[in-house]
Order: sequence, then structure tokens, then C-alpha cells
Amino acid sequence: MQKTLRNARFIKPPNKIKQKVGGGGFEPDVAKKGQKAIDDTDVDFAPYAEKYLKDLAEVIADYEHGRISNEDTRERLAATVMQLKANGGMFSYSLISEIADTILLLLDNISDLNRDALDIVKAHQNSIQIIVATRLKGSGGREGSELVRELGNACTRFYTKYGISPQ
Amino acid sequence: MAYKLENARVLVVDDMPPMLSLTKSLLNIAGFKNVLTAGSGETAFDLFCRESPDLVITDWIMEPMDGLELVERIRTDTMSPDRYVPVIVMSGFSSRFRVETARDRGVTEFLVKPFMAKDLYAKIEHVIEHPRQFVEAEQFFGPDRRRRRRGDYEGPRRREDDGAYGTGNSATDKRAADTLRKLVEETRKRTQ
Repeated sequence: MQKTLRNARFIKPPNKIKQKVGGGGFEPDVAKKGQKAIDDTDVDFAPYAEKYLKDLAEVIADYEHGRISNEDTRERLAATVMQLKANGGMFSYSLISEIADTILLLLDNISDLNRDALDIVKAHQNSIQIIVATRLKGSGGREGSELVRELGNACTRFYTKYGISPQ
Repeated sequence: MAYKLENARVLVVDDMPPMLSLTKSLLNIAGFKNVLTAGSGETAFDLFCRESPDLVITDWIMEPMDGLELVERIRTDTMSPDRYVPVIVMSGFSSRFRVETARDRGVTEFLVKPFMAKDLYAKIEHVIEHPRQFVEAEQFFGPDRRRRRRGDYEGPRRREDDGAYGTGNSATDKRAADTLRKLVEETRKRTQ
């Protein structure tokens, strides 16, 4: 079960879970039932979003007062924005998730949080704040798409200005 | 004949209670009867040592011990009852370097949040049907990382059939649309 290559040892462990569950895959209607459970969840995400927004505001204030480094600020902002993206999308606030995804991409592609980047972060923060305050669930339809596009355009202008190819 | 999921034990870890509960429900719907849950990395590792589950599904960002630290303990701690257990990390992160970081710390599969139910089940099926060989090297112990690179956003653009505002009320919808139009204008001015 083992072979050695240079300094690495390759191991093929027993597939314990396969031995227990056997074959055949999931029941065919499971995905549909599971998706219904996600779609029908009555969790109120707004209080969580408010907490994440508070955290976001605190990090920005700490940075603007010179209390935390540029690098720590980027990492802390990314962690908080990621929560808005992940959980907003799971609990009916898909527009928040889309907006957070845009800003997370920016935060993960810059090595310096300069004034221009911070302005873009704040524009996203402002949008999410209003969406949460108005309890605006769903995608926001045509207007929601336009907002996401406008925020995305701001990021694109930033990438062009600083020669960044986001990955 | 489908999987006999009642024979397997899964540990789910998330510090956001609704997400922990939702993930557990999704596993129950699939047919898993033995789903253990933990709200922190520390509790999860204790449970893991006691119960030795067949699969671990964990959130990434948690405090004080995050999901990747949990994976490292599972892979390297002498108390760990199963260093080879498959671990799926769920996270909103999707940039290439984040996914590679997770992989370099011993994660088996990466599930981008938000996800659809079918994505979760597909990852589990992949773990069952396509186990990864392990590599033990001086600097690394974990599933073989030599696989196609894929770092872009994998998550679905969810709920295409979603109501645009989720209110079901036309007056409220109009107010929501007005709010968003103002936001577009404001964003344009702020970011020019």
C-alpha cells in the first residue's frame, strides 16, 4: 500500500467511509429535498449581518487611526466580508453575497490597502448596510444586478489603474 | 441500491449555529443518521478523538481554533484516532491562493459557500468514490496535492428563480427598487 519517491512516502489508506456505505450513490431525489431545506430556511440573517458590518466598521476605524497594519486590516476585512458572502448567500440575502464576493476578490488581489481601495471597500460597505437596514432579501432583480455591476466597474477601474489581474 | 449512509458517522463543525444546523439537516435529508456537531475547533477535536467519525465537514474561519488548525491537528496530533479521515472545508473564500492554502494544510476537498445542496452531496460522493492517496514528507502530511488547479469561484450563482426582493409585495418591491437605484447612483459618484 506504500511507495516511496525521493523523500516523500505515498500511502493509500483504507477507504473507511466507502467500506461502510457501499455503492450506488445518493437517492435520486435527495438534492431536490436538500435544496428545498435551504430555500425554506427561516433563519433571520439580518442580526448576523449587522454584527459583521459592525466588525467591518471597527476594522476600518482601527486602520484609519493607525491602530492596525495594512496587512492585518486586509486580512480582517477579508475574513468579515467572506462571512457576509458565505452566510448571506445561504440565508436568502443573495444580493449581499454577490456584493461581498466582488469586494472579497478585490481584497484577495491587493497587496496594499490604499485610499482608492478603501474608498471602494466603503462603497460596498455602504451598499450592504442599506440592504440590511431595509431587509432587502433576494437578488434585487434588475436594480440589484445594476448595483453589482456598478460596484464591479469600480473594482475594474481600480485593477486597471494599478495593473492588477484578479485571480 | 443507494448508499447505506446510516452506517457512517459525520462530524460537522461551524461556529455559526444556523449554518451548523442547516448542514446537519442536509446530511440527515441525505440519509446520514449519525451526525455529530461542534461549534468550535476545540470541541470538534475532542469529539473527533472520542468518536472517530468517517468524514469531517468544517467551516474555515472560527476562533480561537480555525478549521485549518483543526485539520492540522487531525493529521498530525498523536491523539488523533484517524489521520487519514477525509475533511471537507466549507468557506466563502474562493481565491486561488486561499484554496491552495487550505490544500497545503491537509484539506481533502473545498466547498465554496454559498452552496447548493447538490454541491455538498457531490463533494461527499467525490470523497467516497475518489479517495486521495496521502503523502508523508518532511514538511507535509496530507492528501496528495497534485491535482488540477482550480481557484476561481466555484459556487453557484444561487436561486435564479428567487423572488427579486423576497417580499412578495409589490409596494415593498417598488421601495426596494428605488433604494437600489439610489445606491447605484451613490456608488457611481463615490467611486469615479
